[in-house]
Amino acid sequence: MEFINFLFELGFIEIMIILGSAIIGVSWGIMGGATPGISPSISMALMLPITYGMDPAVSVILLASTYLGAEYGGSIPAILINTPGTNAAAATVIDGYKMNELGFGSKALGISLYSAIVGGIVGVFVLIFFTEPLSRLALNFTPMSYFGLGILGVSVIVSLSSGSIFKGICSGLMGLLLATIGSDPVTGVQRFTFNSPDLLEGIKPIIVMVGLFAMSEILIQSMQNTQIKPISFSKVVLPNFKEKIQLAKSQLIGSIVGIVEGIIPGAGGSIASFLSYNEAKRWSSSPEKFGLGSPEGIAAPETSNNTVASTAIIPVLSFGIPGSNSAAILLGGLLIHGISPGPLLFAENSSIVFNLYTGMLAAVFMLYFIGKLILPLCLWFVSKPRNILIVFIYLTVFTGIYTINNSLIDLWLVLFIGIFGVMMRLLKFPVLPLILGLVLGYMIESNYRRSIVLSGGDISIFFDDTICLIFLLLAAIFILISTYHELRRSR
Amino acid sequence: MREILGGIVFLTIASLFFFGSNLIPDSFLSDEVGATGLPKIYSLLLMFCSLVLIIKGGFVILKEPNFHLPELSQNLVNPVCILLAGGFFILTVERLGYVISSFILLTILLKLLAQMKLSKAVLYSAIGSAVYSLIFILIFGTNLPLLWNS
Repeated sequence: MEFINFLFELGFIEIMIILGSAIIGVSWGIMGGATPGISPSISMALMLPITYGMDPAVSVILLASTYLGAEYGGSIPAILINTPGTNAAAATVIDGYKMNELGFGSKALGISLYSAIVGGIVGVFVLIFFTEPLSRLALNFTPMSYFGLGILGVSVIVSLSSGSIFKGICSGLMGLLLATIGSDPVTGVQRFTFNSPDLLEGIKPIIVMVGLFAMSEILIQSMQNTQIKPISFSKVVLPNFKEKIQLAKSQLIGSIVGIVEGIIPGAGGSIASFLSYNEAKRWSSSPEKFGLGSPEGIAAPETSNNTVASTAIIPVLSFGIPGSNSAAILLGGLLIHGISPGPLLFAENSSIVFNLYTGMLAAVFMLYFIGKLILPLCLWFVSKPRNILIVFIYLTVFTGIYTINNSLIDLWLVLFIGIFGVMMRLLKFPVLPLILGLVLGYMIESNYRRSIVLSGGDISIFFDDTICLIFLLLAAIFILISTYHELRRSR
Repeated sequence: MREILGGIVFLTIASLFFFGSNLIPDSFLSDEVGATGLPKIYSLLLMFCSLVLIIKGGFVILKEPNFHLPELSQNLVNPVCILLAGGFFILTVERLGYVISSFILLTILLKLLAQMKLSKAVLYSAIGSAVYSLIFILIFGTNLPLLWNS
């Protein structure tokens, strides 16, 4: 209800600012998503330093609409050149490229755009209706509960990370250790700062995110000599009414999968799109057409990953726990403006949340126009030699990071974290647990120590608090199940 | 092999944090846990997990002696060029100013990475540098050091 009142009270200038931010974010996202190798999280990481000096509301709208745009953008090269622009678009390749080969590339792009809009609308409405009730749950949280929640957040991401559980734990612990750099939250004593004033406030998550996502991607991409595939000019042809009716079932399946997968931390758009593809095939009246250029095979994954783009924001706003790389960067965008997600977000910064909702709604509708208009520019981008793009992206990273604090240490850090990110990726260590450890490290440490002070040094306080106990048990179950699966695999 | 290499890197980092936490000064405001408490717990846990990875990787090698190193045979010249050019940019941006440093960075990388002709690389770099300065300084209003010693 409050949100509806907010919408009615919006002035002309505010509407223009929201629309403008949504248009810029969606355009940037589509171009980033359409460029293979530039994932939604990298598009957002490149945008993050630029938003630093902006109004917090504009900043979060830009980031969220970039996320939405990138999820659609990923389908463009998937359909046209058999190369998914994003991981989540991998399922779209199966039928999208086949349709293109059969001469229906424009129609495939239209189905993808239409499904992205449907998924986006569903996702944003779920976001609007579920975020505040969920965040009210957190009003009952004590310092012990917050400690338990932080541990659960890191544990879930660690256990759901691909590859070895021990690699995930190492990555998460590394993030927690990085979070201890700077002033101690209780005594103010300097830790691991080497007396540098630039490190007094610790290593900013934005630096680590840009380093691990954007910088490491630049370095890895520069190692590969990718061939540019020729693209013939295409346009977007949206499905007609009859075709829209035929696509409704697969879009419904995609939406349901996207809602569930988005809210679960760690699941993300890639799993959602493949799961919805399989379910759409299972429930389809013509499953034999899947893999041979079925429109339903594009509609289900595209609806699903665009629903995830909105629903993945629910745990970020409600509890401050990001479930995916892109959601972690959005959380970073909130934190750099001093906004703490959780129950107090609605009490203290409700206008930012409502601006975000409005911006995302605007972004979904803008997808329709921008998705059609920006296609030639995307095709131009995709057909350019990768190394030229890398060079300009590199300068964008450096310029963006430098403008945050005019600090040369930040630039060196981004460079070294980028090298560390390359090492992690080559050695198959998951990156997200590190980001989550860094982002949640302060919450975990400050609430752990506050609880210990409250109990006079007795750690049984964590087991006496029911919510904390539930969170810790869940965390232990997640880790134990993953360890058990890994032990079984290694046998 | 990936486990062993990763384990060694994380073990080294954990050891540095563990011994580094001994250098954190005490405070009279300190609580039961203290400023060194969690860094020590985290680094000990990280040491343990790194050792598990190393041992696990060792068992894999014992089982399959014909192990392969991770693919490091890829083109390493390009990333090294990028890092060196980045280092040069960091060292010069506050001395030469953003316009000149970004122009040099772009020219070097367009010539080496994108293998453009020098004249074309210079032209692209001049345009790129001007556009970036325009966007970040005039539109976003950031206080980049525009020109030499500014």
